[in-house]
Amino acid sequence: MRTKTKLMLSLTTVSLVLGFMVSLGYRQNRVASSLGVLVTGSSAVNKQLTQRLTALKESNQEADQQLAAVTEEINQFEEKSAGSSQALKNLQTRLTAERILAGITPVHGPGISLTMTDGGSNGSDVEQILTHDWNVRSVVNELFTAGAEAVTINDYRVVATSAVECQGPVVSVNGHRLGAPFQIEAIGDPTTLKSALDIPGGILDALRQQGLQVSEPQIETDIDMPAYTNALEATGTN
Amino acid sequence: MIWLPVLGLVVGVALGLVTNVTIPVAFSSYLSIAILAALDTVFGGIRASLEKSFDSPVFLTGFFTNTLVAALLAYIGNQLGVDLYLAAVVAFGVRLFQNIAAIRRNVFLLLRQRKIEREVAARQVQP
Repeated sequence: MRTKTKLMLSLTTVSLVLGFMVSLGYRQNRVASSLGVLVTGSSAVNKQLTQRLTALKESNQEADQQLAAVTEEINQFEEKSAGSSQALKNLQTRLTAERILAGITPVHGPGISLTMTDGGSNGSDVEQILTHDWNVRSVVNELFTAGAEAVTINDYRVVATSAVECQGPVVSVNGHRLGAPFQIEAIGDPTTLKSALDIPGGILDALRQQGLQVSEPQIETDIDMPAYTNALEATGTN
Repeated sequence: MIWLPVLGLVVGVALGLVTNVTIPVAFSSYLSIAILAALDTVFGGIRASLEKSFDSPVFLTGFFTNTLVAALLAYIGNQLGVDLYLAAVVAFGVRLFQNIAAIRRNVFLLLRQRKIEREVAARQVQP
């Protein structure tokens, strides 16, 4: 066989394979980009997902702010519409009080704050020194029992429909996943709340006994609390 | 004769688009590296043919081993956590450009040679 024929035959073979590979790669890339994943290594996928997560978080935050503004507007309209009628004004006051208890308006007032976090491991059972959902829940329950009007965990408002539950390594509050340390704030009569927690053999003593690090409840003169932003409607009940 | 490799390329592309062959998404980066290596080898072959140093077995084995080794290297790099595919991209990319430049130079050389030959032939005919 002549060299030229050989050259052409081998070039043809090679270009056949090359063409196949190129079109395969092209198709693969198109499918992947239509799925929203770039295929230049797993780091690129991660990067894109992170970007999308950040964008979602930002838009979430914006929506939250919008909600707060609209709620504020509604309150102002209600105050205006109450006008001079005494009965309507009484209703208005009651509505405001109920709203505070329901947790759907931002509130501020005196109260206490404390921080609980995982204890240091000193050979004891790890299960013991972790801050569990029931540890947080018991403190919150104690605060409400002592007359707290509003409670937040890491700035998430706890209302009647809130759930503080275990989600593997984290604790979920209103569907937001939180990790230790947990900062619990409560608005109410500060001295009552503080003494309810500090009572010897009370809840804080029990938690410290278990191995958690629980700070001394601090009396705050003015705590700002955001509104509860999740849906309030009960969807599962009649 | 020159149309045969082009036809092969077209047939290959058509084959890839028509058949429903897919590779796992995790391996598609290796495919890209393999394509780069294959491109490099093809241009290397064209260059060699222009320089009259083309060797068919060397070319064919070079094509397949380069492609496989490039993909393998990228895979090993991924397993080790080193971006070894970057090394393949740089190496093949640089060689690709060098090969293309050499092909261009050789083509010009060939054209000039033919022109001179034609002129010489014309002069010989005239008297």
